[in-house]
Amino acid sequence: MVNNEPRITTQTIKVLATLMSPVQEEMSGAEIGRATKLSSGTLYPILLRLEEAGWLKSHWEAEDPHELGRPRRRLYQVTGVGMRKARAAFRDLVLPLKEFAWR
Amino acid sequence: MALVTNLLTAALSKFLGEEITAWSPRVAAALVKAAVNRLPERRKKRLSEEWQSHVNEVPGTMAKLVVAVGFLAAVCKIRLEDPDDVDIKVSLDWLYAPNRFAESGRSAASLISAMSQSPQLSSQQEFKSVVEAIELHAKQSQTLLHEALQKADTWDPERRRCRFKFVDSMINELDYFRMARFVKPRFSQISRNADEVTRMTVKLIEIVKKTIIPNPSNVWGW
Repeated sequence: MVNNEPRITTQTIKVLATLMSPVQEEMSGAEIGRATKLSSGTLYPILLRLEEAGWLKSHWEAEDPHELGRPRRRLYQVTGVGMRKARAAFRDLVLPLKEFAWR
Repeated sequence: MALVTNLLTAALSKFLGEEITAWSPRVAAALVKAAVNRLPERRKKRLSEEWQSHVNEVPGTMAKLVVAVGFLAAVCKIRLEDPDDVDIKVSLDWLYAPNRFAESGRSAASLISAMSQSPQLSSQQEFKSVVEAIELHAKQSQTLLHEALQKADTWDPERRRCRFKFVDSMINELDYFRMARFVKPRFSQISRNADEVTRMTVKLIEIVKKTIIPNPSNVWGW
């Protein structure tokens, strides 16, 4: 049996938290990188991992790259499943540890 | 003499600055291309355009180069996780899993050691089973790690670089165990209160289970 669930690491949490913030519904890799301060070498494996697991979805921006005069951006957003599972993961992993450490 | 040196330094700095600015887009493009060429086939088309776009979005000459270099590191991780890359999949089974488990096991062992000092916990079946599972992981990890290192000696340098980069990254990602170490003193401090210990233990076991044994069926064929 293959388990497709992504590993929940601190970097993964940063990415999910950024995409789940109400400021912007969709973000490009560069925008996520700026917000999370993750290097491109760390960010893209996480994005691909989350997308493969169905936690994120992505699409190309609609505009024609010739009209834009630059390459198209790929925009990411959290799926409903991703939102639910991420919240459960945060709850399971972060809150109990915080409670033990600081209560 | 000092004036001439200063003038030459200024001229050289200006020249180098202009050269770097002029060449950096080409260098960044070449780095992106090199990274894309090493990707699994099914990823190439999409990530080529996406990464060019990423570099384009980043302001500043040096920042563009740093981002482009980062893509080379990303390729190592992406290849290691790609189910279609049979060659690299071998390294995942032989190297990534044992290293990860060995490190997890060591970190968890210190946490478990603190827990086991409390007599109320030793009788809990669940706690025992977690400890046993960790011990088994440690043994299997050591065996596999030893075999993996022997196998790695026959590998080419590029693949070894990928492997070490990936293992470094995995160790960095084990922040939860670092957090768990902060828990240890707190746990010892309040371990006289049996009720509280039991409640905390149940939660800790859940954390240990989820973090140490994330995909046992994947890795060990359980």
